[in-house]
Amino acid sequence: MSALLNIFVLGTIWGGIYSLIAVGFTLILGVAGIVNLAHGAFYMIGAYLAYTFMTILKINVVISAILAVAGVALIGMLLDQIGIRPFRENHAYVVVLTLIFGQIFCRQVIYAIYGAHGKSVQNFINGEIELAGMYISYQKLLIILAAIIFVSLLYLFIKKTKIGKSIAAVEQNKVASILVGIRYERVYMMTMGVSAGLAALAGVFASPIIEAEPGMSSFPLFKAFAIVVIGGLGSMGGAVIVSLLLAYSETAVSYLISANYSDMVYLTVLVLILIVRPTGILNKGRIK
Amino acid sequence: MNTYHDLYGLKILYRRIIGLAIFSAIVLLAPLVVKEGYFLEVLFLCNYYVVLACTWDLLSGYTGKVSFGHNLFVGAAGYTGAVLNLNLGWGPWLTLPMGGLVAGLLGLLVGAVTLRLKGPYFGGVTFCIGMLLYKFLCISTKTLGGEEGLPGVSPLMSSPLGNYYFSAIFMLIAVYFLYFLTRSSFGLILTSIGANEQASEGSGINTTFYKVAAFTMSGAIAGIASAMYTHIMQHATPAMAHETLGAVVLMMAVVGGMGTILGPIIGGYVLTIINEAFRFMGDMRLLIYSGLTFGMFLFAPKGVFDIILRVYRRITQGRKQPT
Repeated sequence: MSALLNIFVLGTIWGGIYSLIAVGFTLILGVAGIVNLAHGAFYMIGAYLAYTFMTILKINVVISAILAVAGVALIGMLLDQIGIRPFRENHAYVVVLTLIFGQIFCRQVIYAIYGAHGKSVQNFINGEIELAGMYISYQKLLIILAAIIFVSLLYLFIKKTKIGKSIAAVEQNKVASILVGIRYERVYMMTMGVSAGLAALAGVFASPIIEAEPGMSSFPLFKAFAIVVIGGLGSMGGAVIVSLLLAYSETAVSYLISANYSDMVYLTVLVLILIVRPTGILNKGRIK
Repeated sequence: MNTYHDLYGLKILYRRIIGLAIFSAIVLLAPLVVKEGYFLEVLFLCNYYVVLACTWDLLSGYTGKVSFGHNLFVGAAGYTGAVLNLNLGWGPWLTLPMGGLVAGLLGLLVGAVTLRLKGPYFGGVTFCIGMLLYKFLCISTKTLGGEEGLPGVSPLMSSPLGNYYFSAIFMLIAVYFLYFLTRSSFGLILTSIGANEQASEGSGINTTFYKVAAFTMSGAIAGIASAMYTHIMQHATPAMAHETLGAVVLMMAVVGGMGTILGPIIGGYVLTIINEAFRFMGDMRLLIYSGLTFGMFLFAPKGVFDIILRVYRRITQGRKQPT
């Protein structure tokens, strides 16, 4: 029973973090049609900025989280405007550019500044509650809560606000959105900002439960990609559902068999999905 | 635009053969100038990376289907060579083709699953599978040595000079093969897929077949190179399957110029030498290296080869813009 509860709690936490990462990844993929391989780097920079502000500079938790997210969103927008904008239509260039920027350059910058050793951030809030004989820290509950709140906020942002609606419009039909007067370059920039901010948010919330190290940008990237392909390219609901499923199955595998094999799960599923149903499990995926 | 005569004319063919002959002469005569073991090893590394960058270029440079999975080929073939050599005692003449075979089969499998789909599937899956192979190599401590890798592979040649010549001749053969392959109708089809895949399909070309064929070939050649590397280093490590290697190969091809075969040769030499030359900088080396590449890509996305070509045309044709 306690194993089951453990799997449920840990799975929900990681499901929340994965969905924050994957929703941003699928957003920029759906809107601009670009595979942003710097997404893992945004997650990493988010965690490192949280470490810088909270542990080194000892700023208030909320303010440092906002600063970290805003900083990464800014980096994302700059990358979009300076790097991606000139070859927006050439997907091969965009993929290579974001790879070199995120997986190579950012990682080396982080390595040069912070060194190779893992850095951990103290808990945002202390204390724990007892649930069916098992102690769950408030920190972990906070992560779950934050994931629910921010994914819902993103949904409301896309559906209700003017910028969000223009993002959805460009996603649906770029030419028509130009005709009704939407400045699509600005929309791309905003989308990149939102997507990078969400990845940074995941990094900030993950920073107390993992150690920040320069190699950490790879795993969220692989998983985000797997989640987005399994859930359907550009489908946000699919991304959230698959994030949770993936996190539960991974936790179950690492509890029941071995942590070493938890990564084999998503890859096996990924390859199967690609062979059987390339549009994703919800059949909502669109290929640009 | 290239007309038929630009691509297939006899005059162009002679010019190409002369150019490649000069390049081969430089490569083969280099040991007369460079005699120290360390520098020979750097030149050997250049040969190895040139093969990897050129094979990457065959599919990804020409069709624009960017693969991040070159580390997959390198890791799989390197370990195949090491395991066959250590467990069955096979010599390099058998393990090299076997490495190529395994990598080629991997290319066929991965390509057949992902290259028929449009969109970012191919890049992402190659990325994931390469990382998975790395993790698999790291956790299989009993059979494949875990993070230590497999040491004690038998050496390829007895002397560094022999190793250099083996790698140089292999590199030249691979480069000639890829160069003339991409200047044949096969290369023309790959270029047309890169320019407009739907139009190529509309002209009756089975684009999936050509993409998978190119990926398989690039995997096989990279696999042979990787088995050769394992024999020369006498050690197979999981680092061969790490994504960093895939990214380095990609950077070489991109800095040199994608879709040219000649560009990756330049990129392979330049980046390997820069990498070794900055060794005195310690930890900052990779930062400078990656910063240079990123800046280079940002400001000259077509690579060094394009710059050289433009300067050459400016000199030979005056101020007239090439058409």
